[in-house]
Amino acid sequence: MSKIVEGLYYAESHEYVKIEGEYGYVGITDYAQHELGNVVYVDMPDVDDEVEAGADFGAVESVKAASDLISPVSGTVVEVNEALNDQPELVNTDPYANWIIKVQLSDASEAEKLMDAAAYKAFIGE
Amino acid sequence: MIYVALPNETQHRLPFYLAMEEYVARMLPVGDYFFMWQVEPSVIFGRNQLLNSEVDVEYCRKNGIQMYRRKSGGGCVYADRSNIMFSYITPDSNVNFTFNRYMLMVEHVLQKLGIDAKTTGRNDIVVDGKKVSGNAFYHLPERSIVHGTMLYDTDIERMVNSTTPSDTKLKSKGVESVRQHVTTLNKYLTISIEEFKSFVRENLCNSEIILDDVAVEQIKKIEQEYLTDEFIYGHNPAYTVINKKRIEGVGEFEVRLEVKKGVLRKVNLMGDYFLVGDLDGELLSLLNGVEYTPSAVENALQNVNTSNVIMNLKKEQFIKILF
Repeated sequence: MSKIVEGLYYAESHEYVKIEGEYGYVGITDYAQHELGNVVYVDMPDVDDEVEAGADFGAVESVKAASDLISPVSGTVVEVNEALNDQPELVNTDPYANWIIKVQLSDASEAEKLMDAAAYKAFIGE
Repeated sequence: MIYVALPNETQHRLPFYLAMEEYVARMLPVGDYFFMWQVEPSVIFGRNQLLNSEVDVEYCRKNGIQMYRRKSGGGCVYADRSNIMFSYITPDSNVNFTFNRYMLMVEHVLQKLGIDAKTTGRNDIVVDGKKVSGNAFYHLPERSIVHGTMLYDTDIERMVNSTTPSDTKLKSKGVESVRQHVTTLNKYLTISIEEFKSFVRENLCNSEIILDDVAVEQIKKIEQEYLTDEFIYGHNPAYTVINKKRIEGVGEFEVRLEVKKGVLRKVNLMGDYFLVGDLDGELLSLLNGVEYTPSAVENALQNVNTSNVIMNLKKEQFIKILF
């Protein structure tokens, strides 16, 4: 059974965003990391890059597949999780602690279009 | 499964077919699709691979072998017109399930031809323990693309030469290829490559869709991204260069450079040289964020006298250590 954290917002493409004030921390869900298998590389954007809700901003590659990362929110990348450069497997260990990018949100109301924990739980059929 | 055909026999470059997969995944109604394609000699490396640590770039340029990056994961492969490429597009998103089902379908077709084909855990199909097919997976939000090679025949020498990197000083932070022994299907078959393709198609597909010229134009638009230098070369993962050099009268040097997107990020210098200044503060830190080219490095060190940091070291000697 996949871990789902209360208080986060979830996208159908299995990314989550954790909102803290004007910032959003974006990563992939436990369900997604489980589906992908052992992560071997995370292709991240650069700081100051713009991301757009619904558009891809990088990829996660596992031993089996490369999967596009779709941003659930729009804004500017203010930080990337540098630890993933050397230890991409952290995404498997704890995907919620190991967010991928920190975004300065351009429109915080976008999160309302996403699913909450209960809706996401139903979406993945658990 | 539905076979996807093009409106005519025009030959395309490799990225066209990768774009065609994306077109099928993004534009066609939900369903299972399959098509086969062949290209002029090309190497294709995985999404997160470092070109120079996978490919002999000079050999490829000299021999007219094209170099392309794909969006699926995994390692580097060589293709020519006798290595048939298979593309499979499905709405299923579970990676293991989709992969296994597809691999078993292909394995089964080969077995029907009397070939003792087996799927391995590493997404390959082997015959007599040697690889005939390597497969990779690209996961889009609502579709999955699985594609792979099928070695009917090929120029093994060119395959080995083009995918053996000449530059072994580089250590990629990205994904490295797993090199394996290969064999070709024509050693086990008496039918021609065209007969083989027909057999595969008849066994996997029960209907056909023929794309029109409008679709081809749209595919060409998607193809543009694959053709950019930014995608092929700029998308390289970070890597480390390790150079060792002895300079007479100065000492032994070992430098480690971390390069990301063509820019120096971290420089370490070790050795038995004699330090007379602040190595990091007066020299190495000046290189952070500098483009990894001799001219850019020279520019960044314009006002530095290297012999004030390392005894007897001339600036041009230091630059030679870095490249």
